[in-house]
Amino acid sequence: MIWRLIRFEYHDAAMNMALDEAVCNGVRDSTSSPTIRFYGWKPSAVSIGRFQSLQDEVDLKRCDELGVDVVRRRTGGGAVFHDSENEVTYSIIAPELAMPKDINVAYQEICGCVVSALASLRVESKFSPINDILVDGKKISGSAQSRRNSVFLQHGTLLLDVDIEKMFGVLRTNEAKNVGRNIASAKERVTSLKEHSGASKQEVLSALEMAFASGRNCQHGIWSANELQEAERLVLQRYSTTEWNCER
Amino acid sequence: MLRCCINGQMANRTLMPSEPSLVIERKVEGGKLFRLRVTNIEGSPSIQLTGDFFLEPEEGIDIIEGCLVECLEAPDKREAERKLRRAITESQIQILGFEAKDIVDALWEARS
Repeated sequence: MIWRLIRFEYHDAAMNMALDEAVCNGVRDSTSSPTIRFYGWKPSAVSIGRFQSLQDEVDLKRCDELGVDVVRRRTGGGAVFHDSENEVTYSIIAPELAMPKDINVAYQEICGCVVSALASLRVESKFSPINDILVDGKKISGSAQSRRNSVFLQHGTLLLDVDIEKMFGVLRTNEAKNVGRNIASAKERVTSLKEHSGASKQEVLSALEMAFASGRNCQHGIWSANELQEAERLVLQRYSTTEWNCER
Repeated sequence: MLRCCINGQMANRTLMPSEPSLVIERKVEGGKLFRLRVTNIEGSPSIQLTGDFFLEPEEGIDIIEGCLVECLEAPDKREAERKLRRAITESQIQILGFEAKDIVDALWEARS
């Protein structure tokens, strides 16, 4: 199986989610190759999980003041602040049969790529089930997975730097989430690569590309016209609509 | 009587026909956070389940929410849990982050 690797590029929140789904649809219809992509969010954005309540998770007034986009993902999981300058997001999309059947095993395998990339930058990290990667006990990467129409999607983040005040200014952190984690404050749950490595963003991207390509037959690629057209349709019909983003 | 958590404060509340909604919140040990939002419109309850859990297929959320309303009428907790498990199994719903028992426990505590 030949994988397409799409190098880091910026899109807005709705387009980023639409591109993931457009590739999923293409893989379903056998018109798109299995794809690994790296991307950023411009402007910065909050993505919320498929089943989260927008009002419960996001300070919409603060987002509006800061020019931060908001989008609902099709994957589950929690709300994530995507700082345009300080985060790399990845997606891996493939036929479901090409990925581990067990959800937890699949998380471990793909998060393992991020762990390997960090190791190549001399940062020791570990996978923390269900879907996190920790450095020194703090979260540096989170991910979310879906399997729909026999197509596997996992997307996840890697924090390069973190503006704690901004992050927790737009997210409504829930103290209930801290119960059992033995951590006094939500702010103490998060770390970033900057605290552990002097690697540049380009070095981080190279490390991620190498780790994700390891053991896979990868070729650099670009979007097809059909994928871009489908993504534009999904932006208009789903990811930029109030009906979708405010569904819960 | 429903026990609800609003802004982290637990309180005993009676669900009145005119009351818009009550929220029951749980963080599952080793799992995810979920909220049950119970709304009573003219004596007809509806339940919305939200949180950072994973659930597939996504349409399964509607089946679970509908089943939870039925569970409010179940004679006991065991029957409610059996009903919810059956709905999950029959619809081939996969959940990561909580078990059927967690939801029914929360619902039942609230109901009692």
